[in-house]
Amino acid sequence: MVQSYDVLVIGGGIIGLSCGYYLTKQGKRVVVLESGGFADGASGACDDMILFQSKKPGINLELAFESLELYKSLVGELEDSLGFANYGGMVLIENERELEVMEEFVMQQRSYGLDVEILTKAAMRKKQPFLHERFIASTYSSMDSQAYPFAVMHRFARKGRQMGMQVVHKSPVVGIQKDGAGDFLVTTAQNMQYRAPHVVNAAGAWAGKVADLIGLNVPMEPRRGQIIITEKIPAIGETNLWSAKYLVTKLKPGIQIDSTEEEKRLGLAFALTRTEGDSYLIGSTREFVGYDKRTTMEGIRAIINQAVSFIPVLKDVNFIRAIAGLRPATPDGKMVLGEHAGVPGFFTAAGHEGDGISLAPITGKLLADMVCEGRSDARLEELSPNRFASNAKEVC
Amino acid sequence: MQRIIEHPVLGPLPDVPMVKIIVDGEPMEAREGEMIAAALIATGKKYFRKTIKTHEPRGIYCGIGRCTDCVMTVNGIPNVRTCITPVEDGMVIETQMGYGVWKQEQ
Repeated sequence: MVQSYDVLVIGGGIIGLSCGYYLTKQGKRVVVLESGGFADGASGACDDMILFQSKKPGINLELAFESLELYKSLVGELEDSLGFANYGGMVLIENERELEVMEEFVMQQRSYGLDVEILTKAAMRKKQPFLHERFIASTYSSMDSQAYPFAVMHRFARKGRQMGMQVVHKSPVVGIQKDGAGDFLVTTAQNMQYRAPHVVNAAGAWAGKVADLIGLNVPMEPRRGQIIITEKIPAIGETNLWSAKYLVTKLKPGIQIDSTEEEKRLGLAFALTRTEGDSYLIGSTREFVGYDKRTTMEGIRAIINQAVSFIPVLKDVNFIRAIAGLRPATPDGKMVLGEHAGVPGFFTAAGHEGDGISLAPITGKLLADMVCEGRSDARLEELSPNRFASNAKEVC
Repeated sequence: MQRIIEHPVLGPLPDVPMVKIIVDGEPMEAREGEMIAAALIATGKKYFRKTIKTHEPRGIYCGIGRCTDCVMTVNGIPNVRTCITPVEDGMVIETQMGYGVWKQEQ
């Protein structure tokens, strides 16, 4: 049997559900096809940051501002707190070299309107009294916020369903064709077929494989991030924390700031956020290991050793769980958002790597505008999937 | 003093040296090597912590380190499981409110 919709969304993570929600809100009949279950992929194994300081000045930072505003309105719209909180964030600086790099970042970010500054050691320690002595300075932004990804996904799905959206789990897509009428015919592993004039590929680290089903090229590599979760503990300092290394490895992989062999191999960098449940999420690694999403003893041990070296009181804290997710990484570090020129009606919204939680609402909203109104915002041109199209195969 | 002096299976309580502990600011005696929770029960202490939301008192529950009901702040470290942590001479033990607080090192 073939079921007909206006839009088929492939991928039921935070990006797919956001796309589904905003499309449904605009009156489209939408089905979200998820290969696994609820929060099975990277969206269920990540931290909870809406982090501004980690965004490249440019389109990513601009979209993060818009996404933050959407999060604030979603709290009312989805009738839930969404674990939304605004603790602010600090990036910890260990030496003069890092300070130089961070000063440049901060200047750029300020020119884009981000409220961020460099704190002296004394001002930093006032906010973070438990830090190891070696840190010489830090940045501080009051804008860095967070949301609880499970709540966001669940509420997108709940509100979407109330308006008629369907979410189908355990339905890996195995085939995508275009029929004579110009509609897409999507087949799942259960041999179910879905028909619609529009398809949204929101398959995260698997977006390249989905695009391949219709002969399109979306270069996407899974990048494993491991994170540990602590028991509930009293608050450590006022804000969430990151190491300068975290930003530099993310934004300027070319720059080498003293890293050990292990740090390089694991892409290890420090990130610490307090959750709504009073646990801490501590990360993380950035590893290219194919589609293997297991946690490893090496990764967990490295994260713990690093965390204790940053905040010595953590040596007396138990960690209760470790998680790993496959962040969808593009070659240029920018997400893919837009319609494929070679196959009209086929859109990709994926490749957020570490920015999926931050950018989920704005991604869904922009995608819905593109599908519903054919609107293509000129500033989104640099995110278009067509930037990779030179290698695309012809579709007949 | 609540201790089993004559146990039907284990026999009489053996003599061991005593150590000094400080419980909520009060100096107390404990048997060397015994768990904090045992020492506190022996002194008649009724509860070890209060819960974060409803401030209900909690004490020993599983007694084998699993349930974390008996946690206290020990030597400035919050959330220490007292049923599996032996006393030490001079140990500072505090009734914990909620998740407790970290002791400032400076």
